[in-house]
Amino acid sequence: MTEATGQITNRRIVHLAGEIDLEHAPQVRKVLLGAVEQGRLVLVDMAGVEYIDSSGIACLIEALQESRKKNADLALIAVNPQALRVLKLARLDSVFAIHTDLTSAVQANS
Amino acid sequence: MHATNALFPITQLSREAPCDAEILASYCQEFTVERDLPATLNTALEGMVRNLGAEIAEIFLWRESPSGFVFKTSRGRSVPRQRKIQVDDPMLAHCIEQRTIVCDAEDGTTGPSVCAPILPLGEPYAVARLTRNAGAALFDARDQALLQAMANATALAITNAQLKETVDDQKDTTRDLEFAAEIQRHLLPNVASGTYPVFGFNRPIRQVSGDFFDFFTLPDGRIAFALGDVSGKGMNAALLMAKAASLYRCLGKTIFHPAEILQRLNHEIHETASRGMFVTMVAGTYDPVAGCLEFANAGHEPPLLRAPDHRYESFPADAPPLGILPEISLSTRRVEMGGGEFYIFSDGLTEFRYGQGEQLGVDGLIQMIESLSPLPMAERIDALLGELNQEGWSLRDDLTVLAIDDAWVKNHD
Repeated sequence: MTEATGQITNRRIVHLAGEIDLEHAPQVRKVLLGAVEQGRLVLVDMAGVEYIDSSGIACLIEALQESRKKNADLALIAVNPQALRVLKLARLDSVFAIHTDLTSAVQANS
Repeated sequence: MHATNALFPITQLSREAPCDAEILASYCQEFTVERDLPATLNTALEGMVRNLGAEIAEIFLWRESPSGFVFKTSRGRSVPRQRKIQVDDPMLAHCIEQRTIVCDAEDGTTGPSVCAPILPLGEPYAVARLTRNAGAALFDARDQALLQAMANATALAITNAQLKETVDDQKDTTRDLEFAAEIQRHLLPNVASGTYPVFGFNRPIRQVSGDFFDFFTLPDGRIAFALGDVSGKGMNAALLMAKAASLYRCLGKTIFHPAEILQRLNHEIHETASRGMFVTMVAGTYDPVAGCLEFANAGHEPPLLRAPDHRYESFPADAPPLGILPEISLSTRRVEMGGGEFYIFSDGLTEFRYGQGEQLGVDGLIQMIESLSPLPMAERIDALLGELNQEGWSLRDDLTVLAIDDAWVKNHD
């Protein structure tokens, strides 16, 4: 898992990778909340996520709820088919803004 | 072995004054008895006073942040000292920083003193300071070596006492978890399997569960049922499980419309849920006379309807899980059972994995149900769980199954 600052000030991009489960959730939570604290727009790149369980999803939801409290935006980008299936099955696609890539996410939030 | 050894039995080696090895043997012997941390420190100081001719022996604990020492305990002549007050003393600081014995000559008011670092697991922990009467001899090289050996033995004893404290704490936690697990089990219905058209099973992956199920008969003869799965595992999930299960048990006896009950639950859980936690849930009512089901699904794995002709239908959620949004909109679905079966399960079931291979998945679950279909429902669920309990299969999450068997009603009329 890595984190990088985007070109535009106040935009944070968090790259998640591997298995986002109970074991890794505390680290993911810390990074996501840190990004929400600093950015007006947080984009979570999910391309490298091989598996996400409910603990991982709870981290994303907490970050989303925190971003709303401070009037910021959080969106998921490049969600791979397996993780997308999990999100859609739980109807979380109605909770998160999900974009195919960085460009479309930036356009949607410009 | 030399023959001369026999001429000098060990008893003849003893001198009037005990040698250093004997002093250390006796000193270490004291630590073989189980002691807590304060008793360990006092025992250490008593041995130092006794064996090194000190008037006062004190222990100062090292604090990392803000760095400094606080007085902990003393033996010998009492010195009025306040506990928990930071002590700034360059001799103590030098001892812990350099991890070495430091000696000091008398300064006119007190006698000569010596400090030794106490380093359990190699980490700075405390300094033992010994002081003799004014005018007494300095602590010589032999005294210093003996004190360092005693400080090292004390460090080992401290590690033991700390480990004992940790083990005792873990025992308390384990006992608390056992109580919690027992209370949780009583939140689930206790109906003998095979005596009711609804069957439930729950197996936590840890001691306590984040899943729950419930069912009970309503005054009009219908059966209310629900299955919920809280995000995460362990105690935090178990606490939210207890809340969701209790709310359902209460609301389910007065609200009979499945979508409405999930909306009410969502509102209640959203008000108090923290850390993004949520609950996926299916709730509904089953009319055994009419053979029909009404249910709603908030973010949960799609339940499966198995028709008597072996066709399966699944019912995906039409709203996100409970606790995420302040309000949710979802529909109540009605299904004619026609003698079929309805299965609700947590993802712990479909995420069963064989070795490092694929998850069981819904298709794997359907195959297992089909292969066990000649068995009555209660035995079928037992057999299914029995197969998944065999070596090679690994459970990754809490596992809960709730099955409604419409054929059971026809067979027990």
